[in-house]
Amino acid sequence: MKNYYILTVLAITLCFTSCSKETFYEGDHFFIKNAGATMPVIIKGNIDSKVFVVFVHGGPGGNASLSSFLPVSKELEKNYAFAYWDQRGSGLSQGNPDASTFTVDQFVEDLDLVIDAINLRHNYPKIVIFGPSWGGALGSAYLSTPNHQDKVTGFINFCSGHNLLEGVPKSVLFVKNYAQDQIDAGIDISYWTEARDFCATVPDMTIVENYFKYDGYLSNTNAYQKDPNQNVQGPEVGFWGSTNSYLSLSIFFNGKYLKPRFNILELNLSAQMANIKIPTIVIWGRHDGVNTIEMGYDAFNSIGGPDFTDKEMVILENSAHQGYMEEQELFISTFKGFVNGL
Amino acid sequence: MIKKTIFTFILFVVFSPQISYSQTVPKLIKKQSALTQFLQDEKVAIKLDYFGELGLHPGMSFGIDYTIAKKKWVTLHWDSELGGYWHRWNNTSLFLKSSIGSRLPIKSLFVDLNLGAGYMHSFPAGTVYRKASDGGVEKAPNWGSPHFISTFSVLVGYDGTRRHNLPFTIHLGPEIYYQSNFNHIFLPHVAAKLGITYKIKKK
Repeated sequence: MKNYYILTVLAITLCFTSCSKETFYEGDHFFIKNAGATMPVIIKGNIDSKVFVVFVHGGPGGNASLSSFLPVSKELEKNYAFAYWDQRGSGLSQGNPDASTFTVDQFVEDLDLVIDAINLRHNYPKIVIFGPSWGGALGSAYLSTPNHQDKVTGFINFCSGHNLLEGVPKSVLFVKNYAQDQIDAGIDISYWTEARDFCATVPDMTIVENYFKYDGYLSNTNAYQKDPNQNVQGPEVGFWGSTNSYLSLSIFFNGKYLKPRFNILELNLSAQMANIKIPTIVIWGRHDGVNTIEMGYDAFNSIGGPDFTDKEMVILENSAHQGYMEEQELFISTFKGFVNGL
Repeated sequence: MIKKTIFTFILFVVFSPQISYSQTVPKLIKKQSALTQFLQDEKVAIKLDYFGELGLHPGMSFGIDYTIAKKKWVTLHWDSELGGYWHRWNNTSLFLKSSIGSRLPIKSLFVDLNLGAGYMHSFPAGTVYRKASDGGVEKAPNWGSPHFISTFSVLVGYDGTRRHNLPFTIHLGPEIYYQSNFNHIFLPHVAAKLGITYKIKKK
């Protein structure tokens, strides 16, 4: 009888303590359902500010939900509400969308639904799109589409992959030069010789197999973080975040189906970005090897066309692709300066 | 009355294979129902588990543990469970699963290896929106989505039936299960199980 008593108490205690870490669940959440995908939108931070930053994550196949655990996000959430949306086939999104839905147009439609749902639930707040990397490309595609700009107050384009047709070859050159530097320094000569020689052939980077081979080399360079030894503040999930938040193991496994089936390697939005006529800031890492600084200038010059003046560009001089962590303080002050000025 | 009927129906659906399996046991009391007879079979134990997805997302399961064969060095058992859990802001899932296990005794303790399969119905845990026909946005019905699951668990526990002629076992351990079709993959999950089995009929 004593055993039953202990078990009962233990079970009840577990039930009542589970999901009780309210800090993970402060804010709002909902799902959008579209074309076979059910995608979560988690809203955290200062909802009362009536300024909603829609976090359009990178990838494709990355996630926004884990970014909600970044210290830089938590800092910015003090001022604004952040809407973390996991895109179809990515992050915490559910459903079983067909590969035929992996198109830029479909992702644009999904983003529009996210923004419409935020407007419905929160009575039309001021909406700012923050798009790092692929998210910057998606944000650009969204804002280039007629009528969408009416729903958005500002755009933060961070190291976007808006023109991979021209951008990836520049990144291939980055890998080639990095490989040569490693060879010259006598570091892992056989591996880097292979990488250099592959890049030297100027492979057709619109072919997915070539892209993934180059991407393997790229991930071993400092394309993402200028100084690999720098101690940056990544997502702080911890035990409770792992076991008792909205996160699940799907953030590690979702995207496996999407990535090889969503070919954006021929994406070139530069021309249509001239349609973007809302206040925009382009933030770029000087040493970004993924989307190189030349593409940063391309984004800045493309947005709104040559006569559009309501745009600015900030270069993070000591950063690569993850400037929001590499130069966190500068990124935060730049971010706030832009959003507060809207 | 309706609730009782529904409850009996669910029990029947979940456990009917095992009830059928146990029909070879001689009838105990003619007036007792098949279910009562089944539950009083000494091979049958009812089981109740805390089922915590990722450890702390709370859930429960209940079911039947049916002893297929019992030797000195192993007990083969067939379990069927009905349960669910709630992963806040993520999903709420209900499942119906069955597994075959081999319980390896170490004195009064045991290690229990289980392999199974089942059905899971998963609902997004929150309001769902979709595009309205007029181009706006509207709430969508949350019917959830069906999934096949395969399960594997390694449990350790105490078997009171072995040495002390007690009618229960206690078990604890992880269960890994794969959810399909989820974004075209078998999505792995891990859950913590803590539970008891109880034999209504003692030896």
